[in-house]
Formats: sequence, structure tokens, C-alpha cells
Amino acid sequence: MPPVTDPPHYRCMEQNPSGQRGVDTDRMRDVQSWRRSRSDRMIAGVCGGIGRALNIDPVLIRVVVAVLAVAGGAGIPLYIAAWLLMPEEGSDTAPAEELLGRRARRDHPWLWPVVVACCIFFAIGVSSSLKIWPFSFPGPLIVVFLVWFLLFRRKQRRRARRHGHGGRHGAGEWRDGWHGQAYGNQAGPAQGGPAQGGPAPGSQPRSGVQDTVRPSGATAPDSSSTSSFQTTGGPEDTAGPGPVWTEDDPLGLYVDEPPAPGPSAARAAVPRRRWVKPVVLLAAAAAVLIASSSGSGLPAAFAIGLCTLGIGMVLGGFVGRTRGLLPVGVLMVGAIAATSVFHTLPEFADKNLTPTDVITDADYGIDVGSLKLDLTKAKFAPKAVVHVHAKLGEIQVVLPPNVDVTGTVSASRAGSLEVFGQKTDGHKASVPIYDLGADQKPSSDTIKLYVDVQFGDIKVVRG
Amino acid sequence: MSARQPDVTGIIAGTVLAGGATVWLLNEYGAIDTDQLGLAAALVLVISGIVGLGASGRR
Repeated sequence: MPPVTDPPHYRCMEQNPSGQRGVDTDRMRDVQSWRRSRSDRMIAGVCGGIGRALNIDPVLIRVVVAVLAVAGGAGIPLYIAAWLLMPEEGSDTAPAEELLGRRARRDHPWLWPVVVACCIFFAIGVSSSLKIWPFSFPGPLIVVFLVWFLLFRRKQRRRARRHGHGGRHGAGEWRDGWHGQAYGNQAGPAQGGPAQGGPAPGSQPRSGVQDTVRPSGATAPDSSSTSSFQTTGGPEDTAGPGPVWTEDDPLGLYVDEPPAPGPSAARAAVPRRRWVKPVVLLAAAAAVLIASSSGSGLPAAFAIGLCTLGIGMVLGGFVGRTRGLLPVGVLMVGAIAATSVFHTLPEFADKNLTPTDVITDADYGIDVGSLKLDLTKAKFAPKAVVHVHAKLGEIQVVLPPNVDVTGTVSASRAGSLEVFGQKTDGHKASVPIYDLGADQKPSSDTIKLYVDVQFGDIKVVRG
Repeated sequence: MSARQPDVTGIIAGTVLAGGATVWLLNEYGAIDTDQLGLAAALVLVISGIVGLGASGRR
């Protein structure tokens, strides 16, 4: 009598059965096994299903989604995407697949990263247009996402290497990391049954997909395991064989082609060209030299060199390895930033100045540090002018109580300004000054004050 | 299909560096306003992603 196994959808419903406390990180990566909850639902059961899959209280998931929905609106498209891409308990077909047919494959490795990226862009667009968050430069969020994504992929790649997998249509890293559990578990009952290392509870059946991690007792994979197509002969095979997304073919462009020879053989046959990096470096250095000798400023010369380096990395990346040039690019970015702020070697200093002589046209400045200028004991000639400047740091100017002041306070690149209690900040911030002092009457003592910092803070107060 | 596998990381990094330097130069010489820097940076990243996807497809 054949062993009695639960139908696939029953296993799907029993998510996260380990009984362990805390977030189940393996389940978190196995997005394909997530199911919308039938019993614990407020709208479509997305939060209930995610909470059950991750071993987290669904209320916490709901709070996170609500916060994301209010702060920027990312929670709304994220919820809708999850609704469309997560099957319901007891089903193996997501609403998106029902709408678009089997052509819409929710097991594509790029699907969820793209969804998250779209939600971030949506949030940035909404928050920028509604002025919810006072930022107009979405770089930090995108960089955080990219870093997370790259680290995520590297972790999966290391994992695949540790297990001795690799190959184009064979043991792909995505299958081992992201999909591996679901795929491996579904192979069990078809060949060995639960008693021989069948599927762990909570696994997701998937037709026509073979895993590289087989349960004990199951038949060892033969050479056909490197193919994109495979039939398991179990009850899950009703949909027939289907293409497999692999890390080497993330777009699924070559699933219909016969398997290629192993990557090690291909790499051995076509060695990388080692001259690529030196050539790109030389081209970038030549660009910097030519640009600087032709009269461009140093920042522009470094920027042209960086542009050349980047183009060289792109073109060279198709014939060799160019990722090693990234630190050079980072150094050039630093060179651009440094040379655009400091034209000579900067002077680091903290100055506390209290002039007592007659000021006609005075200039006080530092490169990096803090400057406190106390003018309460100074005497001013008619139409006296005072310039105070710093490249990076903090400036504080203390004025006599009754001197009339006109002029400008500015942060030419970025900074925060506080002039007689009035605060402003941001990129290229500037505040005009017109103050008659404590008596609020025009007097004979009048100065023009110009205070500027490239990056930093300025504070102007009365003594 | 090319037998030589492209260095996707290098290609994406190169696109970001080249795009960033181009945006900086355009801003420095007045072709792009400072207010448009956010949009330009986002465009650079989107283009980098597309180039990276295209390079991945060649592997």
C-alpha cells in the first residue's frame, strides 16, 4: 500500500512548523512558500500569511505595513504586490498567475527585488510630491537597497559554493538559496515518500522542478539533473515540466536551449584577459592628465578621469574582470570632493578671535575647524566691512548690541544658519541680514557683514 | 551566446561611476540644475540596473 501523503496544499498551509521562536530566516528567503492566510486576515490575508511564514506576530507585520503606507505610501503597492504574487492557503496559484496564465512566473529570482525597488521609488515619488519627507535626493535609500541586494546575492553564492553546487542549468545558487528548500522538499514524496526523508512540513510543491538537495534514500541525480526540464513522476507533476530560473539565466532566456557544458570547462577554455585593468587605469590617468593640462580645474579633471574609468569598466567587463577597479573609482570620487572644496592643503584650526582695534575692512577665515569672532570690543570705521569664511566647520559671530548690520550669511554648499534666532538650513542656504540692533534705530555705527561656510554651521548673535 | 562571462559587478559599478561623474560635470557646468540632481541620480541607477540585467542575460 503506498504511503499516505498529504496533498501539496495541506503542506503549504502548515507554515513554519518548527516551533522555534524568533524569525525563521530560512523561511524568510523562501518567499515562494509563503501563502496568504485564510483564517487570519483583515483584507486579503497577506500580513497573516507573512507573519505565519516568518514566525512573527501578524499584528507586527500589519503595523509595519501601516507605517509604510502612511510614511511615503510604500505599504500600499507592497501589499497589492504581495496579494497578487502570494497564493492563498490551499492553492498553488497566485492571483497574478490566474490573471496572466502560466507565463507569469512568481518564482523568478528578480521578481521580489524588482517589486521592492518599485515600492521604494513609489514612496520616494509620493513623499517628494507631498513634501512628507524633506528630501529630494533619493540616493541613500537606493544605495541601501542595492547594498542589501548585493550582499544577499553574495551570501547565496557562498552558500552554493559551500554545498559544492554551481553551474548554469544545474545546481543554481538561486535554487539552493532562495528556492532550494521548496524544490528539494517536493522531490521527496514522489520518490522516497515521507518515511525516507520526505518533505519538511511547510514546503511548497512545484511541478517539474528538480532540486539538487535530495532526501536520504532518494535516487541520486544523474546527468539529467543539469537540465532545465525534469519530471518527478509524483502527484505534483500534473502541470508537466516547466522551465527553471537559474542564477546564470535570471531572465529565463535560455531555458529552451540544451544544457551548456559546465562553467569550469567554459572558463578554462576562455581565460580572462588580464590586460583589461591596466589599460582602463592608463586611460583614466591619461584623461586626468589631459584634462588638467588643458586648463580644466582639478575637480573637473578628476571627474573626466572617473567618467573614463567607468566607461572602461563597463566595456572591459565584457572581456575581463574590472570590479577590482572599484576602489580606484572611490578614490577618484574622494579626490573630486576634496579638490572641489580645498584648492590647497587645508589648515586645521580652532580660532577664538576678539579684535579690539578699528575695523575698516577685515577678513577672518579658516579652512577646517571652528571660528568664534567676538566683535563686541571692536571699533568700526564708517562703512566698515567684515568678511568671515570657512570651508568646513563652524562659525560664530558675536556683534555689539547696537551696531547696525547689513550683509549676507550663507552656506555656499550645504549647512545650517542661525541669524539672530532665525534658523535655516540646506543646500546653498543664504540669509540676508538687516538689523538695527537692540535700540531698533539707525545709528552711526554701521557694518557690512559677509559670513560664508562651504560645509558647516553659522551662528550670528548679539553680545 | 558568448562563452566569456561578463563581469556584471564591474559593469554595474562602472556604469554608476561614469553616470555619477557625468552628472557632476553637467551640474558643474550648468547643464543640470541642482534641483534636478535627485532625478538624474535615480536615472543613473535605473540605467545601471538595466545594463546589469542585460549583462546578466549574456552569462
